[in-house]
Amino acid sequence: MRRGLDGHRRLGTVRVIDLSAGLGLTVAALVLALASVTLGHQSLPLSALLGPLSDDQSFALWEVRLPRVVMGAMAGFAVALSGALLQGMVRNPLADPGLLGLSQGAMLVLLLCLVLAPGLPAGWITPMAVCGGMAVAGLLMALAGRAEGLGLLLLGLGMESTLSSAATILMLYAPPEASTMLAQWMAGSLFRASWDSIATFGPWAALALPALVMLGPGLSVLVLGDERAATLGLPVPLLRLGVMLAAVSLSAAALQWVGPLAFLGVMAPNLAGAMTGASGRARLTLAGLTGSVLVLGADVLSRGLEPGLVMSIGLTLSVVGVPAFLILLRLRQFAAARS
Amino acid sequence: MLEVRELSVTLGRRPVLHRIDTGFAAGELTALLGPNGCGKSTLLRAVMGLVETTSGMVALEGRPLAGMSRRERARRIAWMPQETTCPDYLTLAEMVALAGHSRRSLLSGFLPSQAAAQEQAFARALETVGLTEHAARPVNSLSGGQRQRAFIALALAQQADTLMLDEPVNHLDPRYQYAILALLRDLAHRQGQRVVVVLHDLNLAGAFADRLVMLRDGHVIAQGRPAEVLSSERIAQAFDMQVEILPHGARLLCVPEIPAHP
Repeated sequence: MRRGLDGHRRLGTVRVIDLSAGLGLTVAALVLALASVTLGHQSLPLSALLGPLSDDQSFALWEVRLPRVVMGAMAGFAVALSGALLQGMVRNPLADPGLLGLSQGAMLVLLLCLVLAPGLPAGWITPMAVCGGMAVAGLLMALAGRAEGLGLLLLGLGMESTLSSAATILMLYAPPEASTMLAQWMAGSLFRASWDSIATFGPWAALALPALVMLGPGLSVLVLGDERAATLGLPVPLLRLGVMLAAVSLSAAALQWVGPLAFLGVMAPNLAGAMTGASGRARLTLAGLTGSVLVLGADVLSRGLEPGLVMSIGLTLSVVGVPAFLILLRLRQFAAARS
Repeated sequence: MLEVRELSVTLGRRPVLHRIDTGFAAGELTALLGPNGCGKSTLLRAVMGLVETTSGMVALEGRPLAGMSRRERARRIAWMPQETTCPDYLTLAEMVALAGHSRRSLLSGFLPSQAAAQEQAFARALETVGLTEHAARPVNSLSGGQRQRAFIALALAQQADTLMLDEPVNHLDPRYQYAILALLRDLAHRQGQRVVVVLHDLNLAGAFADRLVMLRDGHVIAQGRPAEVLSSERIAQAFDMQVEILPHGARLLCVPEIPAHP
């Protein structure tokens, strides 16, 4: 343990404050996961988890609730990290795969698959959805040219609204038997979670780790602007490509299983950033963990509030999460203004 | 020698630099002078490889810069743009530490021993610009002059032997204008660094620079020692203004004529 120039204590090269925040978020995620496991139609109190379980309880725990919790944590991490990566790239806290149209590109492909080839195995669909997102990303980069920040964001917004309309039209052609499923999926939910879906999503979600390690240091330099960063030896075009590949893969794969999680990619990184002011790898990691906590929290909340209803974490995130997020940011501004 | 040979730059369709021939020697402070839009910043950016050149080349000690890797270039030449962005959460110490990027490998971020060695260089850079006591403050909470010195510290922390600073005394009060230029001159004279600065103040240029390069509309119209370059005729040619040159000890003072009421 040593104290750096800025007075922060560090373990190795990691600030202790970031490490504590990471541990805190991990504990919060575990507590929420435990709470989520106990909630539901089949009674499964905490005390029962320690003793022997009935067949029904065992099925509810192992085949329904645990996969849901695991999927929720993974998807939350993936979407939040995707947002954090894009925000770092355009140096704007509003960037998000949903706002840039990347998710809509993937969604269009997912819907096309559903309409044209309903029987396609899930494992084949993911790479196609990723390609859909990458096509939008490529178009975005080509149109943006050397545009930085806001220019890219505006282009993305245009892309997003066009593709959303196209997706809406496609939904009219979806097979009628899929319409309920589609509605749930569009609202953002964990109903498709199973060990099979986790096995399909897992390799894509695992991209988070190399993305964190390889892109974190570069993004921490990119805050100085593309040109200053380039003269510090940063391969800026390569970094952009890496960010796009990682952000699209993570968000498109998550989209396939949990639907669009509105605003999570903006909310989680901003909350995490406000927590400790971390940069680089720590900033990305905390953003991802915050995403997991938010999705698990939304899951617990929606199931605790409406035990009988089909739970939509996407709606809970927008209805409860977004106002709470805005209030929090406002409070922080007040606090900053007073200090 | 950092040599600029026959360098031409066209931005869009507008020719900005025309066959620039000049050179920057180690151990010297060179000042680029000229009116707004004459190509001073573009010249620095062309040397840094940030704008495409239509002809010519830049070579450092005989080696073309175009042949160097990005990282090697970053270890040899530090550039400070007129404006640098910085997010609100970054503290001064963290910002200056970004200078270590070109010396870091993918995994060395995990090695504390290397981090500690680099930290000494960062601490020296902050001390040099007089900001040590502010190391823990967010960069964006600093005053304009402190911010300017912070970005100079970032360039110093890069530990490059060539410094190219675009208007380094912008936003600074007179005391720091003189202090920073004296510091840069000392880096050149005592440590043999090659320092190139863009300046607007002719008197500062005359007082501190070993060499002046005067540009107008993308052409070098004069270069040499201050006594050779700073003349009423040259300044009239470059800036379209009348200046009287007064000797003051070893220095030359430029006293502009104040335009009369129209």
